[in-house]
Amino acid sequence: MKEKKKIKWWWNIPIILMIVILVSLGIRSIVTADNRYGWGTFSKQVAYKVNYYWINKNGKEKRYRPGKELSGKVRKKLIKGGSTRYSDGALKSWINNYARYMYQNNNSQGDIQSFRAELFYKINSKSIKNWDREKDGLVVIEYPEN
Amino acid sequence: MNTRKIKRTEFILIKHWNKFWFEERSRQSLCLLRIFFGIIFFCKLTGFHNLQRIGDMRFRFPKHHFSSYKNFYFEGFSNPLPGLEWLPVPEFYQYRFIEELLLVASVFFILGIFTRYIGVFISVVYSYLFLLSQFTYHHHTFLFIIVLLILGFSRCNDHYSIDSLIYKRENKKGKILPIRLLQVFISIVYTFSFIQKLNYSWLSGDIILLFLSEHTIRGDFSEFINSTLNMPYLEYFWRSLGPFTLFAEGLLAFGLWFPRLRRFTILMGIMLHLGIDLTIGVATFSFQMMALYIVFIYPESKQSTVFYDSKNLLHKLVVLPGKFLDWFQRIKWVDYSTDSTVTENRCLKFSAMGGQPRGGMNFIYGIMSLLPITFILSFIPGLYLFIKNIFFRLKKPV
Repeated sequence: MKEKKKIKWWWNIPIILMIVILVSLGIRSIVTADNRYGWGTFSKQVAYKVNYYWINKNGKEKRYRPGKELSGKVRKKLIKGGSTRYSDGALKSWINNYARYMYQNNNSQGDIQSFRAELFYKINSKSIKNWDREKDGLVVIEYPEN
Repeated sequence: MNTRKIKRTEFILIKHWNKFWFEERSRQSLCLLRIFFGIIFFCKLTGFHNLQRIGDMRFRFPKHHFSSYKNFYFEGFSNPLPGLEWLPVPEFYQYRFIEELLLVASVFFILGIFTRYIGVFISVVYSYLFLLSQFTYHHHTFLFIIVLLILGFSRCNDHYSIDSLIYKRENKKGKILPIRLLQVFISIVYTFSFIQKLNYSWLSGDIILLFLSEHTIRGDFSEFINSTLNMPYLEYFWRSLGPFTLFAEGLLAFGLWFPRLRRFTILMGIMLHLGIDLTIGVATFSFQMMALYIVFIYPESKQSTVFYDSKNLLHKLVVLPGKFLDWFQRIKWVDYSTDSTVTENRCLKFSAMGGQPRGGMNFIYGIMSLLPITFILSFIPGLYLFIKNIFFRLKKPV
């Protein structure tokens, strides 16, 4: 008769690894309000508008409309606004990374102080047509942070 | 508690833990999952999904992620995952070639040809495409990665595969670990999905109306919902889908583990996911989740038996569609004509898990509850009593 294999301790590694990774991703998703990787899609519907600005060394801001660096569905997500199923945390993460990318790839002459995104969003609300910068308030995402 | 008692408790806990994860069982349900998941993966790659617009469902071989070079975002800002910026990004035509390779591999995977190599290839290559950018993230792609990784590195070709026909292995039992990993994974998915939806909008159902007004719910079915919104009380019905979703997800997080709740929980899951797929664009996510319920069915197939006589026309009429619909291989079909020991009372009989063979309504109800299409009917309130009543009347001497 075939002898039963003895259970080795390292067989537990994939079990622990999977549970720890998936539970950590879930908790991260709740803490950061970023529904990606945490199975929380559609828990909130976030409507948003976003504008971008270059800030020069002298502190002057200049509106920027994204160009060829954004294409396909990335362009659709980041260029103007809309709504997302992945909640506000994911949105902020995308914009933050975009601001970093823009600054790092466009500051070869060192004349730029920062790249700023002004984000206005509402949770579980209808799509945003207009918003008042002064009245409604907004989230400023800037790279590098001042 | 003294040291001896502590040691004994530790021993019992370790024994249970080892039994739970490493028990030697058949892998038939895992092999079935390979086929179903493979088919869904094929549908994903060919773009044949989304019940939202049934009329527009088409196979494309393959449906490319980037329809044109204009949409290929790896040339500009692609938002790589932190720590994975070093991953080499393929060219546009290379990306398309990889997708074509995956499509061919998915066919091999379904049929079970070189399954161990193909499984690892699919899981590694698909993970690579997934990890290239944060914008490739979707729930269904992430789900594919995890399930394909588990399937790819497990022996999911022991049954129902061309490999198993060529290389006949004597011992087809193995550790239950991959099945358990998938079971735990399903519970984690539903638990976090439930927790994150625990907010006022979902509890009150406001979110359903928001989805409708914002066209998150769209497609053929949404037109019907919109047309009924002004009817009295129907708005409340559509709102109730919010709390229903919470109830179903909460139940699915634990209910699948309990045999008494399992069938009802699976029914709730099917209703939930069909509803989602009819109204919201989630690609193949709903079908992936429904296919995953296979890991909660008894791992050994053919544990229930149907006895029939192949020379009897009525028996044939019942058995042929039954065999055709027995996708999960739950039933063992035994023909009386091949068994000379049974000479009397050759009527249709059903035996569940080696129990007493029973005919009549028990036969109908038994088969109905095992076939994936008809098991839903066995939940209709009063159906059991109705069938029982009919048989009672038929049996009654005139």
